[in-house]
Amino acid sequence: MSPKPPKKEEDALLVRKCLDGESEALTTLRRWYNGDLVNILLSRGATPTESDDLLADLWDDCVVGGEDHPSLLEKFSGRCALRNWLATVATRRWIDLRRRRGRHVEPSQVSGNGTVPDILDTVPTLDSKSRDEALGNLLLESLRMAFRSCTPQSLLLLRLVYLHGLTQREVCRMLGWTEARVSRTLSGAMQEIERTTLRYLARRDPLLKLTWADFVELCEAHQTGFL
Amino acid sequence: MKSNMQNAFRTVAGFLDRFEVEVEGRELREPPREVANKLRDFARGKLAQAKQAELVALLHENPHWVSRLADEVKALRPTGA
Repeated sequence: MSPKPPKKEEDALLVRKCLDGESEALTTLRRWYNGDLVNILLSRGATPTESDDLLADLWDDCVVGGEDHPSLLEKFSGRCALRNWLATVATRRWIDLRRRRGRHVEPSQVSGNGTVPDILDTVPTLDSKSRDEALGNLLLESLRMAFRSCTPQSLLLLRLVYLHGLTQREVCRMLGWTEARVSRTLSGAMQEIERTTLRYLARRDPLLKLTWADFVELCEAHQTGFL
Repeated sequence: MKSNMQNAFRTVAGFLDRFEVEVEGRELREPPREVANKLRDFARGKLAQAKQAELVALLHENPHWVSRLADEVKALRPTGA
């Protein structure tokens, strides 16, 4: 059972203490987040053993070990919640682990000679030098598919209302639509993005079990200070 | 409900836009005058349906022009709104 989620300032203070080498802070870090991270990894498809191993390594990597072994926490920028950041690190490592083990199998992808290509290897890479990009590429490719499934008009409405802060009434006047039609189009487009994203993810990586909230959280952590 | 959808869309669109621009090196040029005029008419609700469809397709290809459209609409707000 994890204690109440800490505030951003508490996270920042805890990270600073960990980076200063305070062992008690590292214990607190683990106590605050280990339970959450176990649940997240299990819900995303990891086995209990994988989850335990990954988290043991993750907590080890948070320890400051001199110049040769800087703490993983040095990469935390503080621009997203520490819990989300840790969850993204753990998820990325889990994907890497499966990738190395080559246990990622889809019946339709077994070739004639019986060899099994790794699905994550087929995701186009932004930077082939970095294995850390596997998760980012998977998120990106899923979103591209989802956005392609929407009409240009519905995407325009989403951008105008949700990104640029136009009111639905302003959009109605522009298009000559009713507010009900604008509202239906917005929610329909969001549902389509959600549905297509999760369907694509499930097809590309059947072992990765993400909810839409998980997916959004991973995008946020990846974007705001992950690497 | 709206807030959830808005936050989710902001996050995923921000993620996608950031990487699309980095990968494709998309040019952020201003729209040509003819397009700028259509954006203004569209913002005022004075663009015919057929022209709207053309402009929407153009905006789909050049999503960075959407902010220009949004600015045109906001410019019509009563002062102090």
